Order: sequence, then C-alpha cells, then structure tokens
Amino acid sequence: MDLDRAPLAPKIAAAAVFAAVALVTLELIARFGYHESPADRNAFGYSRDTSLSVRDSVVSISSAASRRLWPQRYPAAAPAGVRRIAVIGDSAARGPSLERSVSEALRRALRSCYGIEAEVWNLSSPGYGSRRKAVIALRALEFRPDLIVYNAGVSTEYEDSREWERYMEYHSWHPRHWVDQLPFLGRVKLSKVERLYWEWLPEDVRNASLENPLAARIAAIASKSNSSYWTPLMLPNLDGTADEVLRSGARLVILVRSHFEFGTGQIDDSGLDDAIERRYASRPGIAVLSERALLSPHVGTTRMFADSSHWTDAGKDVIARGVADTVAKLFGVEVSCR
Amino acid sequence: MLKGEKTATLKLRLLHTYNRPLSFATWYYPFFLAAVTAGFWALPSRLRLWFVIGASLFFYAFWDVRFCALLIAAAASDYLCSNAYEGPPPAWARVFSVGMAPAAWLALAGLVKPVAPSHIAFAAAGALGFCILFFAASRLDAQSRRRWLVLLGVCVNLGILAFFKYANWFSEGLQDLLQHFGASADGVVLDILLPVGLSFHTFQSIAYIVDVSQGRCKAEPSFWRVLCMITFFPQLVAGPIERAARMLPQLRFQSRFDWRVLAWGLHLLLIGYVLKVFVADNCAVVADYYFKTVHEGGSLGMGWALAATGAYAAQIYGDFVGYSYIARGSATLLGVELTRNFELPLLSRSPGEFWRRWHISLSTWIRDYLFLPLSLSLSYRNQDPASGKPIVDDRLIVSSCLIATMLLAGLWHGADWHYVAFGGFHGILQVLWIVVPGAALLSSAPGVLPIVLSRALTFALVCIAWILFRSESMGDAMQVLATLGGVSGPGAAVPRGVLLWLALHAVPLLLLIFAVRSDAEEADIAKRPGAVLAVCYFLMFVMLATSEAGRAQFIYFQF
Repeated sequence: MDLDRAPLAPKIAAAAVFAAVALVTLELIARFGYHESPADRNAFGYSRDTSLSVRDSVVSISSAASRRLWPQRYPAAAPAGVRRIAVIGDSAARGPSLERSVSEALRRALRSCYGIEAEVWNLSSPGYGSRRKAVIALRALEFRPDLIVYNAGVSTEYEDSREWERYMEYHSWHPRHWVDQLPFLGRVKLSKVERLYWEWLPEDVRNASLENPLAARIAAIASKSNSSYWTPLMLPNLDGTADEVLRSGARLVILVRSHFEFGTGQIDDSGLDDAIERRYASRPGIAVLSERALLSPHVGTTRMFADSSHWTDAGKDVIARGVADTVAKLFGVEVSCR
Repeated sequence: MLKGEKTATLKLRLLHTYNRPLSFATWYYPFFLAAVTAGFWALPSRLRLWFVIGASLFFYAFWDVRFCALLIAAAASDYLCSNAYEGPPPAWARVFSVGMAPAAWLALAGLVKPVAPSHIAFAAAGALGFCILFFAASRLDAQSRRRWLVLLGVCVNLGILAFFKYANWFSEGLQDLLQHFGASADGVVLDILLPVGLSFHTFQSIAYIVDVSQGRCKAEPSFWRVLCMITFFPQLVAGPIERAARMLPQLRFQSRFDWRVLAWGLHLLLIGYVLKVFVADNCAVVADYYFKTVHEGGSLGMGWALAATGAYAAQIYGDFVGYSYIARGSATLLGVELTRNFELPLLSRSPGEFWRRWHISLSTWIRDYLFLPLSLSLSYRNQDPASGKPIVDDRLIVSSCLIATMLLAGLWHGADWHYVAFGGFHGILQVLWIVVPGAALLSSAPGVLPIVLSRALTFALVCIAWILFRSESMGDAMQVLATLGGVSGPGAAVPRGVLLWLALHAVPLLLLIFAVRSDAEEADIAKRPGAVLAVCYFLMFVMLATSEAGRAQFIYFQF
C-alpha cells in the first residue's frame, strides 16, 4: 500500500465500523418499525395473501404491495340470502372509485333487475393480467364466492409479464437482489427507482440505457397490444383460473375485454371473444360475455368509452346490465329484468 | 405453469450471467476478489506467483479463453528478448518451449471454445517464425544482437496491436479506396475481434523491453514473473500501464499479511465502486440517450447538448477514475501497489496540467517513449553545426512533436477518426498554451479569480475534446459541437427531471473533489476527521447499494 497511507488504516477501520453500526441500526429499526415487509412490497402483485386479511370474522380488503384494491370490508361468511360475487380485472373493472366501479353497478343491477341481493367484491387492480388475476382468484376462492366475474383481455399481459420478471428476479438467489431484500436499504433503493428513476426520467431516456436482457426481450418480441402474441400466453392462465373456480363449486363469467378506436368509432377485440367463446362454450358453470357485443349497439348514440379501454359510467351500466343478465341465468333466476 | 416459467426464467438468467465477462462491474467480481485474496494470503509466498497467474488467466479467460494466448505471446517475447539482450540467449529447448507456448495454449483452448485449425496453424507459424528470428538475432555480434532483439520484441507487441486493433480499420479504408476506383473489394474486409485491454498490456510490454535496453530495469530471469506482470488481473484490462522496474520487485510476493493493507484496499474499492456505479452509470443514462439520438439522426437542441456533455464528463470521470481505484484496491489486497493514475484532473488549470493529472500512466508512457525520444532527436538535429544555434525555433520542434504524439495517443484509443481528432485537439490546446503568452499566464497567475477562470476554461475545453471522444463518428461530433455553438437553434428543452437526475449523481462527485482539493486524490478523504469519514462511508454505502450495479461496462475496456 502507499506507505504514507498506513497510519490512516485505524481511522478507516473505525469509521467503517461506525458506518456499519449505523446501517445495521437502521436495518433493525426498519425491520421492526414497518408493518409491511419488503418481501410483500416487492411481491409485484404476486403475493397471494397481501391485501386480503381476516380479523374478527371480517374480511378487510386494502391497497398494499403493488395490489391497488379499493378498501372494502365484508363478513367472512356471506349472510344468509346474500350472494357473494368477486369481480377480478384490471383498471377498467377497478373503476375511478368503488362507487363508480362496474362491481357496484353490477350489485345495483342485480338488485334492481332480478331482486338478487349480492355483495360484489371489487378485486381488480390496475395493470393486472392473467397471471396476477390467477393469484388473486385463488385467494378470493378461500372466501367461498358463488360466482367470479373475470375480465379477460390481453392489453395488460405485457405489464403482467414485466412484473413477473421482476418478481422472479427479486425472489431468485441472485446476490444482485440481496440489497433489495433488506428492510432499510431495500426501501431506499425501491424509493429511488420509483420516485426518481421512473418519475424524473422520460421513457425514451430510460429505454436508451436499458441493458436488462429480460426487459429488452419482452420489448422486442411484442408490443403491449399485440394480441396474436399475448393471447396464447394468456389463455393457459385463464384455463387454470377457470379450473380452480369450477373446482371450488363457484361459477365463472368471463367478460372479454375490447378496445375502442376513437378515429373509426369501432370496438374491436381482435377475435378474442370468439376464441374464448369456442374454448369454454361446452363447459357448464362458465359463461362468456363479449364486451364488444354488449357495447357496440350503444356506441353510435351514447359515449361508452372514456378512452380506448376504460368505460364511461354509461358504459359501465351497460356492462353491468349484461353481466347481471348472465349471472341471473347462472343462478337460475327466471324473472326477467324489470 | 408458473413453475415451468420460473425454471425457464432462471435458466435464462444463469445463461446471461455466465455469458458475461468477469469485469470489475459485475456482481461476481467481489466474490472472485475475496476468494483470490483469501487464497493468496493463505498460501506460502513461494506458491503465490503461480496462484496469481492462475487467477489472472482465469479472469481473462472469462472474456475469451483463446485470447490468453496473446498475453502468453507477449510475455514470451518480452522474456526471451530482454534476457538475450542482457546476457547469453537461453538454450534452444527453452526458447522453443516458451516461444511455442501461445500456440499450445490456443490448441488447448479449442477444448473449451471453438478454434479453427487454421488459427492454430497461423499461431504456430507465427511462434516458429519468432523463434527463428530470435535465433538469427542471437547469433549476431553484441551490438547488432541487442539492436535487433529490441526491435524484435517491440515489433511482436506492435504487430499484435496493429493486427487486432487496426487491421479492420485499414481493411475498411482499403475497401473504400478500391470501390472508389471501381475495383472489386470482396474479401478485403476482415472481421477481427478486438481482445479486451490489448492496448494496455502491449504498451506495458513495449515499455519493459525499452526499459531493459536503456538500463532502467534488469531483465527478469523468471518467465513466470514476466507472465505475471503482463497478466496481473487488477491492471490487465484497462491499466494503469505499469513500469517493470516498479512491478517486478512487487511480484516476488514476499510481504506478510497486514490488516492495514486490507483496510486501505477496501477503502480504495469503496470509492472506486461509488464512482463507477453511482456516478458514472447513472450519468450514463442521460449521456447515452443524447449521443444515441444524435447518431440516429435526431436533434435535441443546445440545452440537451450541454446537459449530455456535462453528463458524459461525469460519466467518463467516474468510470475511469472509479476503475483505477478498483484496480488499485484489488492489487492492494494482494500487497501490490499500482501507480496512481489520476490526481484530481478536474482541478487542472491548463490542458498540459490536465494530462499530468489524467490517465497519468498513459501520458507518462507517451512522454517517455514517444515525445521525449522524438523531440530530443529532432532538437539534436536542429543544431547548426557551424554556429551551434538552432536552425528553427525550438518551440516549433516541441509543438510539432506534441501534436504528433497526441495524434498517436488519440489513435491509441481506437481506430477511428474521432479518436484521432480527440488527440489532435488536445495536442493543439497544449501548443496554444505554449505559444499564446496570455494562456500560460492565466494558468499560473495566483488569486481566486484566475484559478477559477483557468479551471473553468480548461474544463470547457476538455469537455469539447470528450465530445469528440464520445461521439460515434466525426459527423456526430460535428453535429454536437454545432448544436453547442447555437447553429441548430435552441431545440427541445431538457426536462427538469433529467437535470435533477444529473445533479443528484454528479454533485456528490464535485463535493468529494472539493473536500480533497488540497490533497492528491479522492481517496485522501481518509485524511479528514474520523466522524466525517464515517458519515462519508455511510453515505457512500447507501449510494452504492441503492444504484443498479453492473448496468454498463467500463469505457476503457474497449481500448
């Protein structure tokens, strides 16, 4: 070593020990001071138990760990005469608020049209695709719903895959993620990524320096809306969810997503509704509804879409009415809508 | 379904990990270094030499096991030529066993990676040719023998450098020329892969042979020690370019374990990684975007050009200075002290001073082996035999030599015109500081204002040179400079977030330099009070841990 630096070694060692003690102290404070564990924080929506907790026979649904659900509370066991329905989807089904969501519209439609009393759980979170819907569906089935409304589409599969890669990375043995798993440094790093990297730098600047081969692979192989790529990846996950739902004794309504072209005024789902209809037509307990079919008759007269994929309140009411009709049939309610 | 996907993703990640070189910027380098350090100190000193050679070849083989043959070739040539220069040539059996070693390595490398039989034959023919030339030179009288052996040793190294680094460039030029005259250019273009760090170890080899010939150091009688000097992994891929007189005695590895060595080595490593991972890699996000956009034909305006130039200045500083700290820290852990390659270059007050503080091992190499021999030789010839007075102004000789050597220094960085322009620009700057009296006066005047002005001026000029350096081509560089000159209009505004991002990652570097401004280097922060040092360590560790490691390779590895 530089001979004149030798006397500095004791000072270096003491300062390093002091800094290490400070870091360990902060790690311990973070470990015991935060309710949310970093593992949940980095679950990227793939944690099965996050957001749904049971205490004193009440199910509390909350927004946590990349699962942005509306806060809701329901009795653990559905009251007598009340049907339990869970709506699982992405930002469209989640709605701008719980009151203005399709699940609330469905609850109202079931009551007003068919006299069916139901608690309709809104278990939809933005960006959720078939993998994360499968995880949340499994959790929802633990609360014995009578029916699941599953909003199926491919527009969020891209996001789902990206988050899956992150989840896999985070939970791998890779030493690169050891820091991420620490309570204090992991939080600081995540905050830096989310609050600074993602918010300060424009997307094209971030992309220019992307070296992550997995992200690049996903970006290279498909665009977000490339249904011919994403549909074959989405359907096996939907199959798995459908099997689990039927196995639990519940019924399943698959509402097939579409998107709206403002320029042409057309609603399109690239044939996804037909593909899903063919796949599940013969399976009892499953009904398939096409959003395109439900909304197309109204597009000329009323505005159904707020943007290319999110419904207006009017659109939501049409969807809710259509779903309510199907739900009533599955429940064997013969009374037609008043 | 999810399980299968998990396995596939892990396989992909493993594949990605093991297809990457074992560079300082990878997450596994610290593990490698820890294992080598532990093994090194656990071994008796007589075994350490072979252990370090093994670790170094393993380190280099991560890039490409075949290219280790080049290191062995350089070491063999250095060893044979230097020893035959000083004394009687080694026995023919020894000459052949050492001389043919590169070809043997290449043949063995074929067990791990594909090696074309023609490449092995080519290497064997080259090695045989070297042995024959060596024997021919050895049989000459003492004076001729020495001259031819030095020439042979230097030519082997220059030949390797010229073939692997510049053959593509020349063949592309030849192709353009042939096509210009309508001739067929098929088969002219070569596709030669540049071995990492080639320019560094060939310069080190050349310096060794020249130093032996000029009596600056003794020829090393052990081939293994010469091989260790050439392959020593901490400085193998991007320097510092060490001198044999300094390195060879240290490679006897006689020192005993001292915890203070460990402490200082870790201190250097921490600073190096912070500069690389926190400063350089994060500033690179902005610089890469801008220069990539320019290369693709986009135009972003003056604000962006300024921001990107600042970002690149911080990036290259953090990258190369950081690399040098990591190299020194790694070597220190093995009890070897490498040359300090940087001495706060951003505080330079003139372009000449900048080169005395930036990449010191290269600038002193160029000074000792190019500039001084050239300028002394020309100055000697510049004397009028009758009057003894200079024929032309000595400043003209010095200026010409400065520009010529800086052009070569630019070319050393890479076979492209923008590198030549980078060197030429620095040469012109240094000449201006010699011939323009005001410039030299500003750089040496006392007082705060002259100091601030001369540093700002030097930094601005160095940044212009870095634009030439960073751009993908001369065309790109001209466009960036035109944008900075206001030719292309104001253009798009730089988002506030980008500026904040830059400030977040460059300001800590500036604060660090400010804190050690009266010392020699950033590592001298260790001279500050213990409490200050502890806070620095804490912040540095947080900065390091919260940045994405291994995002980008070191800039100087490509040279």
